[in-house]
Amino acid sequence: MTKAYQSGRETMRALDDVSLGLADGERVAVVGPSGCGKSTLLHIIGCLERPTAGTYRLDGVDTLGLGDRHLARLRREVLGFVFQRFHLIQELSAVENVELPLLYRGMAGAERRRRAVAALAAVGLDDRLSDRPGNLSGGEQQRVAIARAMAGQPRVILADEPTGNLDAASAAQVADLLFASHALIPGAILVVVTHNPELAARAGRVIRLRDGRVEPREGHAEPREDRVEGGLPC
Amino acid sequence: MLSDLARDCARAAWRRWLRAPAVSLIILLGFAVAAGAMQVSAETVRQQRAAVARAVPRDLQGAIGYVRVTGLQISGPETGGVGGGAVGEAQQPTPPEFTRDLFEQVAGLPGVVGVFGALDGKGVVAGGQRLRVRMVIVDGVYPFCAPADRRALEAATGAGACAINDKLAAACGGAPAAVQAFPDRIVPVAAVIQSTVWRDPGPAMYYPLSALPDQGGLAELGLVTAEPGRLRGAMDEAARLLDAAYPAARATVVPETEADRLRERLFEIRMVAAAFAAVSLAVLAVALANLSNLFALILLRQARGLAIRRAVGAPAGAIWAITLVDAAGLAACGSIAGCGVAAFIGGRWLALPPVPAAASVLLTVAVVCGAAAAAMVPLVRRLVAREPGLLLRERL
Repeated sequence: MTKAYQSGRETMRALDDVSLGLADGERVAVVGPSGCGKSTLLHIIGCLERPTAGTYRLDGVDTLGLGDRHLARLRREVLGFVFQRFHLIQELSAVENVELPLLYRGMAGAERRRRAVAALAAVGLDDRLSDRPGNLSGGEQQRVAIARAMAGQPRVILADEPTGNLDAASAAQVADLLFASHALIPGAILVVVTHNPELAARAGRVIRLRDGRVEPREGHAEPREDRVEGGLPC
Repeated sequence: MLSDLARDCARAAWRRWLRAPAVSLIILLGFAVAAGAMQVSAETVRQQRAAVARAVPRDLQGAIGYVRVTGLQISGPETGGVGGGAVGEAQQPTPPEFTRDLFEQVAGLPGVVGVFGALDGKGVVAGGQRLRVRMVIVDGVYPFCAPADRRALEAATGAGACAINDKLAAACGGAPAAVQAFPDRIVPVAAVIQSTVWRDPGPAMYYPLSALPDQGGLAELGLVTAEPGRLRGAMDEAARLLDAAYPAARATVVPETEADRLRERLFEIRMVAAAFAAVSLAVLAVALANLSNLFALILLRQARGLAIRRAVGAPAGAIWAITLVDAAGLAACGSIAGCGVAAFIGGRWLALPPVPAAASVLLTVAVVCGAAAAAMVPLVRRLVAREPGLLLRERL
C-alpha cells in the first residue's frame, strides 16, 4: 500500500508500496529514522488513516471499502492504541478514560467499570482511579493508556513510541507492562513503533522502514515473505 | 447505552467549560451581546404595542366599537394657551354646550360605555414638562379634577366617572386618581396619564381637554360604544344638530374596528420598532459572525479530545452529540446570563420596565441555540470528515 500527503503542490509519499502481513500472536517492532513512515503505517493498521492506494485487509476484509461507522467499530472492538503522547482525555479521570472504548462498545456501566478497574489494577494504578491525567506523571499516564488499550481485549495492540516521552525508569516499566499485557491476550498482535533499540529487541520481529519503504532485511533469524496465512494480513 | 453516552457528553461539557470560569465568563459575555440586542429589540416592540393596547381598558376591548369623528371644527371662544401655564390654569373651556350636546347625543344611546378620546403621542408642555397625553372624557361630564378632591368628581359625575377614570388610569400604567374640582368652571375632564412608553417622562396628572384644541389635539375624537352602527346614526344626527347650532362645526363620522384603530396607531410605532430592530439585527449579525468564530475556537479546544475519542472507536454520532451538547449548553447558559445582563441594563439605564422573564429567556435561548447549532454544524462536519489519525498528528 501507498500513503501520500498533499502539501501545497507537492506530494509526499509517507509509505511507498509497502507490503507486509502480521500473524496472530506476533510481536512486531517498526523501526526507522524519523519521517520514514512508521507512524503512518501504524495509523493505517489502526484504521486511523486510509492508504492512498493499495489494499489493507483486516481479518480478510478490505478496509478501504468500509465506511466510517465500520472503521470506528473496528477501532473500538479489534484495535487498541497506545500513543507516544498518551492521548488521554484531560476532562476524564483515569478510570473514565479506560472506560471510554468500552462505553462506545455499548457495554453496561457496571461491567464497564469492573473491567476498567481491573485493567488499571493490572498496570498498578488501582489507587489512582479518580485522578485526572493532569495529576499523573508521564509514566502513570502511559500506564493508563495501556490499560485503556487492553481493557477491551483487542486483537491488535498498536503502540506508537510508547516510551518516547518517558524517563528511563518509566520507559522500562511501561515496556514491561506492554509486553506483559500483550501476553495476557491470547493471539493478539502487538505492533510497536519505536526508536528504542531495547524495546525493539524484545519484539519477535523487526520491520525497518526507510523513506517509506520496508528495508529487505528484517530482524528475524530468517527473512520471510510478509504474507501470513491465518493471521491479519495487511 | 444512550443514557451513558448522554452522561458522557454532559460530563465532558461540564468539565471542559463550565468549570473554567474565566473562559466561560468571556464566552458568556459574548453571548450577552447577542441576547441583549435581541431582547431590547423584542421588548421595545412589545412595549410599544402594549402601550397602545393599554389605551383602552382591557375589559372594554373587544366589547366596543369605534366611531372616528374627523374634521371636527369648533367655533366659540378662544381657548387658553397651554405651554406656559401651570396645570389647571390654562384651561379655557371649549364651548361647553358643544361638547355637552355632542355627548348627550352619545350618552342617550344604550350600550355606550363611555366616551374616550385618545391622543397618544401628542406633546403637551405643562408646568414646564413635556408630556404625552391621553385624554379621557367620561360621559359628558366636565369638571376638571386634580388629586385633592376625589369626592368632588364623584359628586359632579357620579361614581361611574371615577370608576371609568380609575380603570383607564390603571390600564395606562397605574397613574393615581387625581381629582380637583373647579366649581366655577365647566371644563371637559381630561386625563394625562403617565405613559409607560420607553423613555416617556412625565408624572401622572390630569389635564383639561379644553387646552388641547390649541395643540391641534382635537382633530380626531374616538367614541367608544358597543353599537357603532347606532352610534354612527346618532353622530350623524348630532353633526346635523351641531351644524345647525354651531355653523362652524364640522364632523365626518366613520365607523372603524378596534383593529383598524390599532393598526393606524401602531404604524408609527412599528416604524420606530423596525428601525430599532434593524439596528438590533445588525448587532445580532455581528454577534452571530463572532459566534461562528467562537465555536471554531471551541472546536479547536475540543479537537484533541474528539480525535482521541474517534481513535478509541467513538462513532460519528457521538462526536456530533458531544460538540452540539457543548454548543447548546454554552449557548443556553450564555443566553440566560445575557438576558440577565440585558434586563439589568434595560432596567437600570434604559428605564425599560420589567419584562416577562420566562418568555423572554425562552425566546432568546431558542434563537441563540439555533444560531449556535447553525454555526457549529459546518465546523463539526469538517472535523468529522478528517481522518482521526491526521487530527492526532496535528499537535493539538
